[in-house]
Amino acid sequence: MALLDVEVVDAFYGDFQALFQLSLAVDEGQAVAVIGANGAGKSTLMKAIAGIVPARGGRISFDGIDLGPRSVHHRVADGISLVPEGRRIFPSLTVEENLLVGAYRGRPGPWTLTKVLETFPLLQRLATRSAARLSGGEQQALAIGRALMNNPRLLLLDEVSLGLAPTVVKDLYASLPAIREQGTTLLIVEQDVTRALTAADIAYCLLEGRVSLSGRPAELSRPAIAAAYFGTEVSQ
Amino acid sequence: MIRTQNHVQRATGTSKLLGGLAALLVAWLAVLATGDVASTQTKIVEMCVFVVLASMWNLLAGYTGLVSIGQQAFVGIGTYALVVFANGYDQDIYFSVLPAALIALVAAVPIALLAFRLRGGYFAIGMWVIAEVVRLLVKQYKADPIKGGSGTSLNVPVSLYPKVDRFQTTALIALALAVVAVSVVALLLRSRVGLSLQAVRDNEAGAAGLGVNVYRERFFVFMIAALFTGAAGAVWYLLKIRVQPDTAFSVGDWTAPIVVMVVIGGIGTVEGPVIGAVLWYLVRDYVTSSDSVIHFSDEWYLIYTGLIALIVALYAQRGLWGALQDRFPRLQVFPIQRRLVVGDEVAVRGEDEGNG
Repeated sequence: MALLDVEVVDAFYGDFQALFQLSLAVDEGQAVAVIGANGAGKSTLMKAIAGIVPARGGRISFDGIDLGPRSVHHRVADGISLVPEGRRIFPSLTVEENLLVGAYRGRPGPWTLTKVLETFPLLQRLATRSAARLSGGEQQALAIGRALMNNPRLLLLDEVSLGLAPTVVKDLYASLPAIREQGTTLLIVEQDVTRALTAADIAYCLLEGRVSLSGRPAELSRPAIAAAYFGTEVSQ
Repeated sequence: MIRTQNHVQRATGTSKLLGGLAALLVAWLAVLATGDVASTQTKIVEMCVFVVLASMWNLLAGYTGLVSIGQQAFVGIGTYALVVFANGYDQDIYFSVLPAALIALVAAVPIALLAFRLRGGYFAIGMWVIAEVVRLLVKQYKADPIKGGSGTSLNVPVSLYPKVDRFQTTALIALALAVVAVSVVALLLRSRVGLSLQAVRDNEAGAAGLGVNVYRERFFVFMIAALFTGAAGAVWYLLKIRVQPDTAFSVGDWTAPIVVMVVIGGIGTVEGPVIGAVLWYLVRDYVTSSDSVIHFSDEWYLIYTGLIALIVALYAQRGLWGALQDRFPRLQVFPIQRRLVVGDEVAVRGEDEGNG
């Protein structure tokens, strides 16, 4: 049984349908990437798993339990943590206070304030600084660290690279193995295809709210990915 | 013991010193409260009531983002509950403050269920509307002990409540209420809930995504604010005796000046509203008394302080206390902020204070 099972799920923003009969599965300990163009439904999928957007039809289950009736805070308590697009840090709090909010549900596990600060050394020396004064990359590291404070079983990373310099993105992705070592399962949404495929065991490509391609990154050819990404025919 | 792990430190040397000074100030006020100068006791009651109202309004607006301009609803409800218990059921007037505060708390439940459906500015206006509706409902109740719009007086026969005694007791109750209210705010903000409240204020979706039950926390804080705001109203009228719906539910008396005090003192801090309330009250006391050098009326005082609040809100959003903290970063009376102390420093501290 997969840790996360998304089965034929539809999702809407008002009248606009963002996901169509979408299915995917994530096994415990895996890193799964979801790639796709703008508006393909990647963030909606993340929000549906986190409980921010309701999933209509179908079913999303986590560790065999139907998430349907469970609200956002219940899912966080279950061990699903989302690093949201746009980071959403708390500017009036210090870096470490931001991290402490992440420990709100008090889930036990390997991630503590000390451990998170060790994993993200750039946060260590900024610990007492107001989070408002961090750079974009530092804020993103903070957003990831904050989600880890919940000791999630499943960490949802939404557009980690958005608006960040390539070297900063590289550093952030370099922290992912340390997170996986703790047994945390990763679901990574990313526009940066190469980055996502390198980090993942399994990749799904979304196109207009549907899965257009899936498989092990090594087994997916460049032309096939391009076709699934842009919705064009595979040209030989 | 030498701890190699980092730990979170809260109290600083400055906070211990200032905390001690605050305790001394309270002790001095308690001595004054038990004296026999009625005008001093009146000042203590009024100042303490403003401290309570300002702390509670700040707890809502500065920490949870609930900007209410209808808190006078709870002042009025607390006041009229006092009248009902004291006049209607012949209870001891001092004891009646307790059920009056609880009634305000109970009334806050349906009010919250209604008002929480609104957001931001709509919530602010909605609360005002609710307060007005409650005022009008009270005015319609013409029978005893409320007596409609013409109002009534708290029953304080001199045989039971000699004036000197009543002023002393009320001043002590007001002082105790202020101490408890500010302590509750400080303790609440020190707790896990306090941190998440600030997170909610900063970024509601971000906090919700970390598992914070935003609605429940706001509801909880709204209840606390109602309880203390109701108690403050009741205490005020232990002294003033005369109760009318238009004054007990007055936005101009119970909410507008409170906003001014909180903004000038420093919204989103524990100390700011206390300082704002005390300062606002003492300056008003001076400038509205006929023998002061600079003299103006109550109305002009409100206009001037309103203008100052506007300027503070535009150019110095953290207010007086925030400006002081910018100059003296370690300044705090209530250690609610968390500072991380890295390894070595802890070991040194541990040995110095012998608390290993």
